[in-house]
Amino acid sequence: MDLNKVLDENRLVIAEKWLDAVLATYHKDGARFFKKQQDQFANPLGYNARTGLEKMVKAIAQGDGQEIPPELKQFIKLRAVQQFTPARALAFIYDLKPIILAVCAKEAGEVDVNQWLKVETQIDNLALMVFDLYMAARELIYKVKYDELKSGNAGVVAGGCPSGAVIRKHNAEKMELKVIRDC
Amino acid sequence: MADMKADELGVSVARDPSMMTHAVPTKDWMDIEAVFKPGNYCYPAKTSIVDYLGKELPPGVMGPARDWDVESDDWKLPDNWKEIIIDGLKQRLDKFRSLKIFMDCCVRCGACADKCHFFLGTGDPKNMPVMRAELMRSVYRHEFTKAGKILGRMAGARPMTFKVLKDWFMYYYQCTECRRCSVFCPYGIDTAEITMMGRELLHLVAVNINWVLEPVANSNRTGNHMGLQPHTLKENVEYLCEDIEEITGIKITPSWNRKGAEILFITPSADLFAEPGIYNCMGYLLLFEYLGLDYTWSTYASEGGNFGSFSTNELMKKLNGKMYAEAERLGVKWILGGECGHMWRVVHQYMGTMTGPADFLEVPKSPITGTVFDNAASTKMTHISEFTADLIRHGKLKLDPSRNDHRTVTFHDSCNTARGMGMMEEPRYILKHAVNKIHEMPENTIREKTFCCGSGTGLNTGEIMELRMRAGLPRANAVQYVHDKYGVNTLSCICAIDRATLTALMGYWVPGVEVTGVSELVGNALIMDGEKEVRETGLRFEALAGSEGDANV
Repeated sequence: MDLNKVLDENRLVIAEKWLDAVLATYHKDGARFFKKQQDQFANPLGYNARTGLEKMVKAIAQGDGQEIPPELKQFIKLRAVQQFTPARALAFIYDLKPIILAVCAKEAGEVDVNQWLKVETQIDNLALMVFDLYMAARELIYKVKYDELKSGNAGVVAGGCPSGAVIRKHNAEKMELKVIRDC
Repeated sequence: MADMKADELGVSVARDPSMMTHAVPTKDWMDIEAVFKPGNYCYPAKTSIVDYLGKELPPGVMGPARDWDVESDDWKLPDNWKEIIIDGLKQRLDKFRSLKIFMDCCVRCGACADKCHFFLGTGDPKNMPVMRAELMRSVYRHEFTKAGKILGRMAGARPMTFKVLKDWFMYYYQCTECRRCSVFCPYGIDTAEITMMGRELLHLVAVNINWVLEPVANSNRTGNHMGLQPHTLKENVEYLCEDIEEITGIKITPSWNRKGAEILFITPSADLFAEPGIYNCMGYLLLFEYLGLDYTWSTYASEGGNFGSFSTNELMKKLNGKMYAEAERLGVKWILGGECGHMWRVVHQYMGTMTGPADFLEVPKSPITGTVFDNAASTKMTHISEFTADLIRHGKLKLDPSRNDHRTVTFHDSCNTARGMGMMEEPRYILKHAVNKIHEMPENTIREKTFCCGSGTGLNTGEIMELRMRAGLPRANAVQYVHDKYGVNTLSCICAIDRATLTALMGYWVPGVEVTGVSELVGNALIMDGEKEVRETGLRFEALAGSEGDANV
């Protein structure tokens, strides 16, 4: 029996259960809405989660789980700013293992163990790739904070003499500009 | 064996909702307590600021100044704090009929529930507008309705407790008063005004945030958020004029505090000192120079923004009044306002009865086209986009939109100008003439249904950056769509808070998209008499399409 074929046949059921597991990490009233509303602009979280997970399951079923779909990437970025601990933000990746096993239980016994290992390896790799994405998002947040400080928008509560600070900043920028141009 | 593994894994992954969002779904909302932790709340105002503002206002409005820690369970509230809040609520129910109606008329239809960007980005039910209002309604019912007094919780009533106060501080500072929800409410309940009342009541016991009150204190003292003194304002604009001369070859010398000028120009001070607002300011300067406008800047009315409107109506009135006092002192005929959001909400919706009508001024009339802006008959203040659109309509501007060909632009309707004053066509009309490549975001994310930047009403502070990013998700998601589909690389808007906060939002969600004001794009396109033969860069020294210009900034 070909596990990839079994996965592909069941991919929509698997994706839906996976989505349910992800949405269970939100308050039930929020989760209900995220699942129901289909419009991608009225419900960006639900849309990105659903579409991202469906595409990911399809890719894994085809043995091609090295590329993370853009919707799932966006969803990981959102998880990175949603007050979860890093482990809790990403734990849902491992949810896929028991879900696949449960959905494909009937066929499971007939599948060669190496095929299972391949699927499991894809999921483990996915966890590592998602970890990279999560960390990149966290680093980006700090860059965004730094850039905002630098832009002057955060100057209101910077303390000290704001008038002097603005002049110093402007002079520094002029100098920087001059150096760049002279080069 | 496979099943056993499934069971193990099923337990090991963190599915227990109580571990996740600090909410426990099985509990009733009244039983869920707000948990403050770094990153989900704004820092309280400094004692010195509260003390200063308290002295500027009628007694009691600002509450007792003190150091307090949001994360602790002792906010050092006055002993009679509950009484202060309930009395404050009673006074406001008597004073503001809208509040009374909003407290009574909701039928829980749920139309608003999924319209809030904070809800869409967090999934927290207390961010549903109906629930945000319920935080106050529950107390209202308990104190002021018979059913609530008798039936208590069965009638959705609860007494004022510290837990309720924490809810208020959490969720009235997770609302940007954007009013998207009110567009969908069949009764027109304005959650923004409920939030405003919530914040007013919190101020009575000095539960507030520094990012709102320090700018207010600065504006009150020196005229602008940063507390910039007159010489610095003037110097900053001079710096911008130097850049303009370098880019266009045009030398501009604007006037300051000039008595007898026809027009007083007021814009958010961020346009004078912060990126990308300064480029927009260069756009204003070029436009006024082009027209030969008889106008003046003021170092005293040097702030269009009114952070008072994010705290209490007394402060809003005070800051709004300063603009008009300066207009009267200088003897101008009318006021031209720059690209700002809440300044216009205050002017358009509250100023007429709060400070005005400004009968000592004249109804704004464009000296170039002769158009009389009757819509500003009471406030005597016209929006730069109305003014510019009128100029274009009368063929008074020579524009070369190809100078913006390096930009593929979309337009973000700012909440306050779109929903607060109904301005949706003018900026689009300007863009059509100043830019060649424009693409709208999806219909349910623009115009009156526009999604907020996620950081308005004084929530544009760094300590809640993650919160801002999740609240801004719906806006960013729509930008991402036009970025991917049409190659949009520029998000234009007519609000200073937007210019600042969307820059951060794009930095996180859609890197590669820059934020501009509309006037910056006008400034780029405007063909000035006597300008350099070839303009090599835009106003931010960026290379123009097809140019090999030096884009080193």
